[in-house]
Amino acid sequence: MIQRLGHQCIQFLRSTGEIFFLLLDTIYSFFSFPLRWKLFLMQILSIGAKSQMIVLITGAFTGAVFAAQVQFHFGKLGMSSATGPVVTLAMLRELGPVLCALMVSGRVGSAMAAEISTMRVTEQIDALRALGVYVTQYLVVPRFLGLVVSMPLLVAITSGVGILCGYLVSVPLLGVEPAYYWENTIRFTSLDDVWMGELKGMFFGGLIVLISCYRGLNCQLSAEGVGIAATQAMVYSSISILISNFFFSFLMNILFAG
Amino acid sequence: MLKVVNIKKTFNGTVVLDGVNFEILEGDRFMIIGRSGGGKSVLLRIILGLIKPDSGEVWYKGQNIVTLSERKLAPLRRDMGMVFQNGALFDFMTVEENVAFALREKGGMSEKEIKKEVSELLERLLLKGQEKKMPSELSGGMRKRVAVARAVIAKPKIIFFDEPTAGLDPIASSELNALICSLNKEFNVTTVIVTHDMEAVRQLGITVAMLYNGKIYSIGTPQEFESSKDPVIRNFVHGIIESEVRCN
Repeated sequence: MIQRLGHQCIQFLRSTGEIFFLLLDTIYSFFSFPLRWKLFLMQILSIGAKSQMIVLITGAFTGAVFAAQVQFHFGKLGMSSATGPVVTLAMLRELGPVLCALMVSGRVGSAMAAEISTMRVTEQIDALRALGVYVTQYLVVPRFLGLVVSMPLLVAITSGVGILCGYLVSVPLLGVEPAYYWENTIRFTSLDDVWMGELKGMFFGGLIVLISCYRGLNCQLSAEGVGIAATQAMVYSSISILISNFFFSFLMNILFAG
Repeated sequence: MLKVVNIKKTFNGTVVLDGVNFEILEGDRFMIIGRSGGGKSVLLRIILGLIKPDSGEVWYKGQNIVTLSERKLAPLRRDMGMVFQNGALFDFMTVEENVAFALREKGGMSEKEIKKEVSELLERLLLKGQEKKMPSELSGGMRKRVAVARAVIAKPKIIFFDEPTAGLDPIASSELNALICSLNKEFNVTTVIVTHDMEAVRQLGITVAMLYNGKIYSIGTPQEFESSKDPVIRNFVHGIIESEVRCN
């Protein structure tokens, strides 16, 4: 039992260290080699553009249900006018970036790990290396940039649609006064809240790519290995998003406290 | 041209290579033979720098490949071509894109020139009309030829073949061997072939090295191997096993 726990701790530390080195290698490759624009734009299309619908649905129903719950309870306390700012702040700072990242890790992270691990199993990665291609530059950099660029836009869609649906549920459906709703929302929301969400989105995007590519590049050489890599990419990305979100929020609140 | 010095490699406690030494001369067709699972492909990967040995050296152009980092190996590998056992074609690219890949990576050519070169090579390899197909739409023999085209198009100085005839019928095997032979002669490209197919050795080999128990057991010409009285070589060359197998 203790031996197994120790083994898992060592594995965790090893993986964390290797993911950090993959990040350094990605940064090195980005500055050392010309960017592969075609691959980068293809990643933006497959990661960013094709994820719009799922994050739109996620944002819409999260905003709607959150606004309904807040209004049901705040209404009893006579605090209906606080519904707008609470929903908006929650969507911008937490729910928008975190839920968007979780959905993207499920859709994109696992696919990315499966694709790269299949390339590894079928020796395509070795073929790239044999042709003198630096694998990090070819496989990781375009994906990293693609998701880091796409995530703020996807977060903006999630949060924006969430806020809009929160308004539609609160005002026309549950009868909150629209003037109070917007006035309080604008009064208690600042541009810092928007930036915090966008920065989180970029950070989570980078995290998803690094974990997924790492899992793909280090999978077992079997069909089962491909499946395990895809599952692990999604699970570890999701857990990392949830854990890092806590620390990120703390740090951001200290930085943007003024 | 390429020198392998005392290469050793162990996987999970199993010794695969136990001090391999040989030298490959320019323009040679160097065949590495040995039993399946004997470490031939591992040796090829070590020479190419795809995996690191436990110890030993691989010298090419005055540089020890074993000690070079992946970043420093990349330009050196552009001198080399590799045909993998299963082709290892990029499944997200068409045949044409696969073959053009090395030229695009090398740079210095216009798209028009690349297309012309690819088209000529595909025609020569009897692959005309297959340009727009994906690798999954090709037969095993065609996939091998596309892999050969991808490896030779950038005119490397040395080409490695990992079991080129594995999984091919005898006629397709002979056609591929003839192609390898003509490429070797035409471009004076050094060719290293890992195989256990003795027919390929007879058709192609100039120098043959036999890997046995993790070491180079013998180096010679195909004729010397054919006429050898050494029981290890004779058994391998003629497919003789210790216990007799009778079927019907």
